[in-house]
Amino acid sequence: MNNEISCLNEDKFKPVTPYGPITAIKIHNNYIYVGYGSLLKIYNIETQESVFQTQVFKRRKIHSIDISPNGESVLLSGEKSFMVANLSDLFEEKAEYIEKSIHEWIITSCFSDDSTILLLNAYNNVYQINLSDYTYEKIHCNEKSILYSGSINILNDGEIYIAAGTVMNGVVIWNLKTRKIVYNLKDHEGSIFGVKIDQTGKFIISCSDDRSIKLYDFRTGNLLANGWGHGSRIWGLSFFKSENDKIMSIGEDCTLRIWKFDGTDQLVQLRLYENCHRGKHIWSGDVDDDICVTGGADGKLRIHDLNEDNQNVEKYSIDEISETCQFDLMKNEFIRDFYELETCLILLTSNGHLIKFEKEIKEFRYMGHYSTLINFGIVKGFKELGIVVIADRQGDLLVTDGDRTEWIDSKINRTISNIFTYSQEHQYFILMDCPNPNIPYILYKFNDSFNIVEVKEVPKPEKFITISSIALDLENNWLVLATKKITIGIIDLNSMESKVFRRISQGDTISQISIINPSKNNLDLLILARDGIYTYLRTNLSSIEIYQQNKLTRGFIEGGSIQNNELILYGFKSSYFYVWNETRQIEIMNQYCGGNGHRQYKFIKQNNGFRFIYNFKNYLCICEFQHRFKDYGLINQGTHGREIRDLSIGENGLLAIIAEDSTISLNKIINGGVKHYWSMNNHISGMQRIKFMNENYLGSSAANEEFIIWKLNSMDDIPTIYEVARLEKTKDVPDLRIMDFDSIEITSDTFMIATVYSDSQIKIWNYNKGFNLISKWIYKSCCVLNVQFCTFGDVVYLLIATTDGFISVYKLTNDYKNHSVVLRTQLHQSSIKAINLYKRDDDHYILITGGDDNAITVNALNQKGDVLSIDLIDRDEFAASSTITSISKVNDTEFVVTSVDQIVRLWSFKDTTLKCNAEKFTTVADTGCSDITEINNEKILVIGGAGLSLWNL
Amino acid sequence: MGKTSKDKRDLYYRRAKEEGWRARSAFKLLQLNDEFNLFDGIKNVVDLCAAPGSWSQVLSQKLPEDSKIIAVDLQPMTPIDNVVTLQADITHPKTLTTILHHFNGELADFICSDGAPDITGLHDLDEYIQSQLILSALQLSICLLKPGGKFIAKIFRGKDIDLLYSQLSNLFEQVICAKPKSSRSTSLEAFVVCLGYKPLPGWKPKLDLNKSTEDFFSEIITDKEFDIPEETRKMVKFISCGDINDIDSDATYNNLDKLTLDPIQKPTAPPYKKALEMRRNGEFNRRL
Ligand SMILES: C[S@@+](CC[C@H](N)C(=O)[O-])C[C@H]1O[C@@H](n2cnc3c(N)ncnc32)[C@H](O)[C@@H]1O
Repeated sequence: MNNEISCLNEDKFKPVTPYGPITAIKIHNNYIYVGYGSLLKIYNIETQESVFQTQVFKRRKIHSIDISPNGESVLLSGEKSFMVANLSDLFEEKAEYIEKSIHEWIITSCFSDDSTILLLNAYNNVYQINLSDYTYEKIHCNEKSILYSGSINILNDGEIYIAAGTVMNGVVIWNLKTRKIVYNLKDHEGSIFGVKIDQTGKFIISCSDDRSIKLYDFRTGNLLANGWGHGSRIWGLSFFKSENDKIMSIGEDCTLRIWKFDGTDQLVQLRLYENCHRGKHIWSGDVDDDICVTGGADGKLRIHDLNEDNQNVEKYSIDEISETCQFDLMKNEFIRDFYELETCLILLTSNGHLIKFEKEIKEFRYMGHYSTLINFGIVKGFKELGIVVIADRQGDLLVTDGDRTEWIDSKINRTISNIFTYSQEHQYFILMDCPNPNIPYILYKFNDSFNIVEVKEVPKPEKFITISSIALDLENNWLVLATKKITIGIIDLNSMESKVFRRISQGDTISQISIINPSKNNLDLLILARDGIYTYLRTNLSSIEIYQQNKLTRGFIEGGSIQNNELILYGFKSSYFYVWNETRQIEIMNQYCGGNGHRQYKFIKQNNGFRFIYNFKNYLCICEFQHRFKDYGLINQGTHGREIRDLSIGENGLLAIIAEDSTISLNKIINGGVKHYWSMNNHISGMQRIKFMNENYLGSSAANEEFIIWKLNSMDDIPTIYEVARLEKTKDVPDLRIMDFDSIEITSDTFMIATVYSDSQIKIWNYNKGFNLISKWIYKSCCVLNVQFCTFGDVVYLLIATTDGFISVYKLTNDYKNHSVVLRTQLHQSSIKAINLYKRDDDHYILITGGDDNAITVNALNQKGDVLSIDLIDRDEFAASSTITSISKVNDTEFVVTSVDQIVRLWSFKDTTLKCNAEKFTTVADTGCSDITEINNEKILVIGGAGLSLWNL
Repeated sequence: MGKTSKDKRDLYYRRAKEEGWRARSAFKLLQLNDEFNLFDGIKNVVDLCAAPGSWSQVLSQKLPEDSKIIAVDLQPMTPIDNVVTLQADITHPKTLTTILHHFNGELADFICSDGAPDITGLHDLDEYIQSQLILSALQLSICLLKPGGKFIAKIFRGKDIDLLYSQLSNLFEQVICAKPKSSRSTSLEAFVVCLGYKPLPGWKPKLDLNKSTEDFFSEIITDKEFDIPEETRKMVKFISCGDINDIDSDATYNNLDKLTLDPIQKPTAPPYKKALEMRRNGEFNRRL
C-alpha cells in the first residue's frame, strides 16, 4: 500500500481556487510578492492586479521570500523547502520550479549576494549555499535550541548577524562570520515570535508571548523601550525602510500597529488599524515607507496607506477661532452645530453666533449674531443648493449660502422639537416636528431657488413621539418616519393614510432610515439601529417582509449606505469613530475622537473618500480621509479567518459556511471563486452543522442548544438571509450541543425536523413558522454525532450515528410520535464522524460512514417486506492516516472523502468491493468538511478547514 | 490552567479529582495500559513532558516500589513519591544527557511523552514543533531503551503523520495509533504506541552535549542534501482504547452536582500576565 497513501491519479482533481493563510509577504519595487500557501502570487502595487500566480511548492507553504540584490532572482522558502527562480523566466512563464529540501524547518532565508543564499533552520543552523553548484557550509554558534522565529540581518557595513527567537531562552544574536554570540537578551517572557535588527545596526526589536515589543540598542544590548498595546500574541515586526525609528507590528488580534521610538522608554503608537482581517491572526506583513501590506489567516491581502496626508486631521481651538475672526466669544461658549458646503463650513455657537470657515484658505469669518438662536438651533442644509438652513425654536428658518443670510417665516408660531431635510432630483423637503403628539408634522417642499412651493400638514401616526430619521419615496409619494423602539411609520401622502410597523428588531433608536429601491406600490428600506442592528425590508404599505437582518458586534451604527452593492456603515466604538465595510468584513478607517458622548459630528461622503467633522476637547476637528487604493486596498478576497467547521451548497452555487469564529457566512460560487455576501452573528459559540433544507430555508446548529432556521431570499440579485425561528433553550448548560439535524419537507414552508444532542437526546419537531415538539427520547449516554431521515414508501426511518461507533435506525410511526429501534450495529471502533445516506432506488439506500478510526464502510439499507436490514458492501480499515471528516457523494457509486491527513480521496464501489481511485493532497489543514455541486455541467468540490479550496472533479 | 465551567462538567475531570489525579490525562494512560498491558514487568521509566504529573502518579502507583521513575517538564512539578522530577526542555541536548546520568548505565523499559507545545494556530508549524517533541523523546528512547522496550507519545494526526509512522516502524516491532476514550474525538490527539524496540543494526547512537536532535538523526539519513526526500509513508492500525461503557468525553452529562473540590492543579502564570494587568489598569491606551 506504500506510496499510494497520498497520491494517486492526481489529475482527477483540479484545484481551482484556494483561500487560506497568507504566510509570507515581500514588497519589492512596484510589486508585492505573496506566499499564498504553496502558491506564489505577485501583484502590481499601482494597479493592484495579479500579474503572476503559480503553485511552486508541491505541498509545503511559503514562509519567506527574498529578491536577489541584482533584482534577477527570487528565493522562496517554507517548512523544509526552498527554491530559487529567475524572475524574468517566471514572468515569461518558462521558469522551472525546482523545489529543494533540507531536513528541518526553515525559519527564514535570504540572498547574501547574487549567487549565495542563507537559510536559517529551526535548530539555529545557517546553511550558506553557493547557487552555482549547491555546495554549502553549515554554520552554527553552538546554541542549538529550537527556534520559533529568527532573521538574517545583512547590515549596511556588510556584517551579517543572525537574530534567533527561542522558546525558552530569549533572543540570541550571533555573528555569522565569527560564529560568536553577541547578545542573549532575556527581558521577554515566553517564546519569541519575531526579532529583527535594523540595517544601520542601531536597533534590535523583538516580540513574544508576553505581548510586548522591545527595542534594544544594538551597540550595547541595552533595553531602550517597550511597546504595549497588542491584545494577544504578536506575530511579526518590521522596521520601516528608511526610518529606523519606526516599526510596524502585526498579530493574533488582527491589528496592524505603527510605532515610533521617541527616546523615551515607551514606544509611541502612531497608528492602529483594527479589524484589518477577519477572524484571528495576521500572519504576515511587510512595510515600505508609506505603504504596508498584511496577509491574514482569512486569506485576505490588504494594502494599507501609511501616508499621513490621506487621513489628515485639522484642529482649531475655540480661542483660535475667536481670534481669527476677530470676535470675542463668551467664556463657556461652544460650537453647537455645523453644516458643511462645497467651499465653507458654517458653525453655530451656543450663544447664537454664526461663523464661516473658508475651506480653501482655512480662515474663519464672523457672520453675525442671532438672538433667537441663543441656546437653540438646528443646523441642516442642502449641499446641492449650497444652502445651510438653521431652525430656531419657533421653526423659523435662517438660510445662508455663507455670504448672504435670509429668514424664512415658517408661519407655524409654535415651539418645534426638530427638523429633517430630504432631497432628491431637484426637490427639497423640510419636515418640522413639534413636541405635541396631536399636532401634525409640517412638510415644506422647495424648488431649486429655494422657494416654498408646497406646504402640507401630515397627521402623526399614533404614539409617534420623537422621530429620529425620515425618508421620502417620491415614486409612491410615501413618507417614511422612524421612531423609538425600532418602529417605523409609512404615510401615503396622497391619501394621508398611515401604517405603523413596530419593533422591527431589538434595540431602541433608529439612527437612519434609507430607501434602497422604490417601485410601484413597493418599497425596499435599509434601517440602521444605533445598537448595531441593520435590516433590509420590503413593504407594500400593508405589510413588511424582512429580507436581511444582522447585529454588528463591533460598535454602534450612526449611519451608512449601500455603495456598489456593498453595505458601508459608520459609527462609534469606545473612543473611536469607525467606517466599516460589512460586505467585505473589514474596517475602512478609524479616528480617535473620544467617542460620541453627546458631541456633534458630521460625516460627509466625498468623491474619493470622506470627511468626518467633530468636536473634541474644545477643538473643532476636521478629519479628511482619502482612498488611495481601490477596493479599500483589498487585493485578494478571503474567507473566515478561523477554522471552517461545516459548509453546505444550495441552489445556484449558494454556499453557506460556519466557522470557529461563530459566524455563518452566505456566499456564492461564481467563476470558480467565492463571493461573500453576509456574515451572520446570531450564534454564540460551538458551531456544529449547517445545511440547506430546501431552496428557501437553511438550518444551523451549535452549542448552547442553538438551532436556527434561516429564510433565504434575494434583493436586487443579492442573496439575503434572515433568522425566522430558533429553538428555545431547555437547560442552562452552554456545552449542550445540537450536533446535527435533518429535515423532511412537508410543504415549501413547513418541515419535520430531527435534532440530535451531545447528551444523547433525539428530538422530532414539526416546524410551521414555530416549532412544535412531536417526540423525544434518549439514545444512551453518549454523544449523537449524525442524524438523517430515510423513507421507504410511506415508512419513515431515522438513522443516527454515535460516538460509540454504532449506527441505529428507528422506525417512526406515521404521526412521528412513536419510535422503535429496528437496527443497531457497530460499524466503527469509536466515533462515526461522517455519514452519507442516499436513496439508490425504491427499496434501498446506500449508507457510507467514516470514523475516527480512519476507516470507511459502505452499506446497503434494504427493506424486504416489513423488515429493514443493513448489508455491508465493503469496508477499508486503512482508508486514511487520520480521522475521516466528511463524505460527499459524486454519483450513485462514487464519493469523495476528506480526512485530517490532508489527503482528499475519491472512492468507488461495485458489488462487494470498495476502491480508492484517486488521491490528492490539499493545502487546507484541519480538513473538516466538504460538499459537491454542479455548475454549468462541471462538478465542483468545496473543501473546508483552515481555509477553503475549490476543486473541479 | 484555571478551571472553566466546561472542565467542571467534564466527567473525567470530576473523576480525576475524586480519585486524586492531578489531571484528567491520567485516564489516557490507564486506558492505554488496559489495552496494551504497558506496565507489565517494567521498572525503569521516563515520563517526558510530565507536568502537572498525573502520568507520573499513575506510574508511581502501578510500578514496583524499587522502580526508577524520572519525570521531566518545562514547568515545575510538585514532588511525587518515588519519582525524580527535573525541570528542563526535552528538546535541549543537555536534558537528555542529564536523564541518561540518572540511569547510570542502566537501560529503561518504558519511555512515554505526553508533550504538547503551545499552539500558534499555524498548523504546519504546530505540527512541526510537535514532531520535534516526539523526535526528542525518540532520540532518548534510542539511547536509553532496552531492546524490546516500549515507547508511547502523544501525536496529532495531521498531515505527514504517516511519515512518522514509517520512521517508527523501522525501530519497533509494532506501531499502533491508539486513542483512549478519555481523549475527545473532536481533538486531533491520539497516541502512538510502539512495542518491541529493535535497535537499528550497525548504529551506535550517542548523546552529545553539542548535538541537537537534528544532528542526531542526520547520522541515519541517507538522502542527498537538498533533494526532496523519497518519502515513505505508512499507515498503522488504529485501536480505540477503553471500555465501551466508559465515560464518553464528547458527551454532555446532565444532573451533575456542584463541584466543590479544589482545582487539581495550580494555575501557572502565563507570559502575558503583565499585559493583562496593564490593560486592566488602563495603561494600554493608545498615545498619540
Ligand atoms: C498535556 S501536558 C502533560 C500532562 C501530563 N502527562 C500529566 O498527566 O499530568 C503537556 C506538557 O508538555 C510540556 N512540554 C511542552 N514542551 C516541552 C518541552 N520542550 N520540554 C519539556 N516539556 C514540554 C508542557 O509544559 C506541558 O506540561
